[in-house]
Amino acid sequence: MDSLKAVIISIILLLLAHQVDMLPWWGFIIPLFIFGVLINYLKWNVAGFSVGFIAGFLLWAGANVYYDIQYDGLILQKVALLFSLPKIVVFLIAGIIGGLLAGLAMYSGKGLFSYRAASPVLED
Amino acid sequence: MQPFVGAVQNGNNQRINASRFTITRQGLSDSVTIFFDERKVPHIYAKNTQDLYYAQGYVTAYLRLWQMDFLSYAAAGRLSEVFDKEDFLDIDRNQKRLGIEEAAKKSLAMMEKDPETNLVLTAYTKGVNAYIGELSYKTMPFEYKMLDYEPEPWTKLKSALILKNMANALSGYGEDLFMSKMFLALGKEKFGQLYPEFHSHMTPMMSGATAATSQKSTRPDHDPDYLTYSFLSANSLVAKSTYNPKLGSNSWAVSGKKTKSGFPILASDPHLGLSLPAIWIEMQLSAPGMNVYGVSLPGTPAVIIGFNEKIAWGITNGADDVKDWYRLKVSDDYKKYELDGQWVDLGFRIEEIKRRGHAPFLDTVYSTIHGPIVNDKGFNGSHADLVNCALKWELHQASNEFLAFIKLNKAGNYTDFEDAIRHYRCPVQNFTFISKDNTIAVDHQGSVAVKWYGQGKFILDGTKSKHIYSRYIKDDSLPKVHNPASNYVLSANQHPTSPSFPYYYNGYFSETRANRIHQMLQQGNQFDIASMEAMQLDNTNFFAELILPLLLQNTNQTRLTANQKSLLTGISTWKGTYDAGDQQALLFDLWWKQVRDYTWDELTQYAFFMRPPEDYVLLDLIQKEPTSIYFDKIGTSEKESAADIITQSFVVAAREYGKFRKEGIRGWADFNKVNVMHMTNIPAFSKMDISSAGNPEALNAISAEWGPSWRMVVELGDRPKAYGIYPGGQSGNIGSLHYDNFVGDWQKGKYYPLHLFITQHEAEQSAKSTWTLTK
Repeated sequence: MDSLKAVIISIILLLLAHQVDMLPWWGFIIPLFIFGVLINYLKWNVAGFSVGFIAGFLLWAGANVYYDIQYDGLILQKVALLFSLPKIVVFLIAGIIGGLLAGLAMYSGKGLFSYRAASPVLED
Repeated sequence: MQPFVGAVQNGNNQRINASRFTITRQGLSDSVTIFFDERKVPHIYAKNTQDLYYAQGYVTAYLRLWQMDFLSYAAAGRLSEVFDKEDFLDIDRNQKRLGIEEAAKKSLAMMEKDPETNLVLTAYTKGVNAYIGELSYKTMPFEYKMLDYEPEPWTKLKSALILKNMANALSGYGEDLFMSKMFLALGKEKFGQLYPEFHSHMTPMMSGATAATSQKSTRPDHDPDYLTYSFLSANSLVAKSTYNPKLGSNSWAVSGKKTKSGFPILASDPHLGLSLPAIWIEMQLSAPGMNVYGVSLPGTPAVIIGFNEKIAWGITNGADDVKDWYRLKVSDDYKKYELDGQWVDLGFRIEEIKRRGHAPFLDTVYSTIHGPIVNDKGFNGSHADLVNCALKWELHQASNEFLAFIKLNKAGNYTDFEDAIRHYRCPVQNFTFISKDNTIAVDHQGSVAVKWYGQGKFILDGTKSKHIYSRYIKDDSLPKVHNPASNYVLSANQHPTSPSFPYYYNGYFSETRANRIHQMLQQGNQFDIASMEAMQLDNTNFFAELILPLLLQNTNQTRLTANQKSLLTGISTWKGTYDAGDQQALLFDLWWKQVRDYTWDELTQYAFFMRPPEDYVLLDLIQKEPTSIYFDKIGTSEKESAADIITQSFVVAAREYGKFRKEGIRGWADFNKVNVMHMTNIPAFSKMDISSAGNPEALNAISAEWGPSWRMVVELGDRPKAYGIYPGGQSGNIGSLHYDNFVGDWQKGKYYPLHLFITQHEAEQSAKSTWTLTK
């Protein structure tokens, strides 16, 4: 259950971050990193990378599909042609890039905090 | 890949499809309305000139920003800033050394001094920059994202660069070196026979309907006596030119006395490189005092070829040689050069080429009184033989061609037309003209130097000041025709005059299309728009039709097999037509090419060989000297005559034709494929392998990478009736349906009605989308 919640929240966070035009193109990973940190406080039992990856993948692949359908769909067709790939592969590649970035962000956020939390224990 | 600002966002066409769209705070003096019709042609309505050109800049940038920006980089020799590849450094160096940017700067200084031009250029630039200012990563054209750079602010210099870039494409071709070597190799007499200035199969622009000239030049045939082997380093290679001498065009006009409606009709189809985004963009510009429709060059203001309510005009390349080379004597240290026995200081400038991922490259360009030394020991380029030659090129002169177009857009009669085009200097262009009052005209307009016979045809001697020309033919002495008795005028890159013209000039003229236009215009008396369109789409090669009977007559049938005989029977009734389904055109093409190869084999032996004599010269030779030594093939003991060559060529052609048939090629269009390439040459963004009718020698002058870049037919009258099409689309966005949507119809020979709205209300009625730019 926690994982599902985390994925949904991650998607919402990513979506919101993408609406901020002022951020650089990779800026969307910042809220996810913070969310990773927060997960430790919430004591949700989730795998940071997987949750981030799934959220990033769904959003990047999904949004590309969404805009592709909403517009004329020509541009990605030509991008696919440029790399001699079927269009579906373009969506998958976009998904994987989005997934990796989001996954790593969340993994680092969560990992950084747990490392700090764990440090005193190690000193004992 | 990023879905919210990345490539997929370039598919967003909501703005151009929006029925209403307002762009606020533009700093205009009044609001401007832009109506887009069903083909996304903007019809711009402004209340004053300044706002009009601002809006033209804005809307052109919206549709074509990357294209115009990229062209300005290419023109200025700045491609190394975009591409991190060594190859581009030499391209940039060459461009800078040719002096394109220098010339643009010089011309801009002149343009800024003219208040009207400066106002227009300033407003256009502001408009482009207003659009650039709105862009974010998400909305910038796809090519910037792909090549990973950003649009930079537009400048007036960039507009001037694009103009000079066009002048370069139209006048950059040269064969001075080749001609010099050929002259030395052949000797004066043979050279004069094979590469004559004039021949008898011409329809000069100026003689209009009168018979083609048949007399030879009566002027004394001066020897270029300075031209010796020691002057040139003969027998080395002439580098392959990247310029295309066949970049031609057709334009003609017929007075109302020869039309069904009684109104004059003008047709214009400039033949240029076919590219995506297309070279042209269509628009209507309307403000108090002007209302014009036509095509504009993205990155430059005004309409270049078009019409208004009272006049219409077309343009073809004048094809005069305005680019000459001077062989210099330069000191080893590049400090001095010799002129009239004196050692004179060389000038120099340092060009900085910024490079992506590398330190900037500094290049020293030396120059003399003639012009820049494009190739020196530090930069051979591919022109080893032009090392230490100075380039004197009309393009280098300061000129303000924009003013010609600004005035032409507002012109209402012949006087206005003449007043406008006198500002057009380089390269020489033929302007055809009609006005509502039934005036027709054609002018060979531009800067043409007064030269001695043969001057500039060959490499000139840079050590003698008498080799430098400085006077120009006065504008009113330039070739022009005004309301001829024939009731038509035409230009198609042919000789502008007969040999009786009092001044010497040379150039890269082609006669075949002009001869065909002359033939067709002479015959008809009831022209209308449909018949003019049919002429533009005419696939007849006038020369092929002329020479075929001669070839047939000279073919020795006894030496042919049964199969070859039947092929010969098939082609015997051919009319020179390169129609899509034509079965004979390919056979003729192969045959004639072989005849040329066999005849001119003596010439192709030279390492510096560049082009054979004109086809008309060969025609005369077959007819008048069938036993000429040129027909004798090198390496055979037999002494061949014209008939032998022609028969043997047919055998070779028949064999090759058979091979093509086996590969499935039937009609001409199966063989004749056209590519409309994206400016980066990326196939995914291009339209490739379009089967097409036509031939470079036919009026429908289509070849693999160039052809009719804009077909326009205009009939003036109570209101202009106009039709046109270009191979492209209004939008430069590869993610838009309007990127290449005209290409299919262009290939099929369709025309679109061009709407020059007389009132704003009319424009509003037909608008599919309306933009308002507010103060």
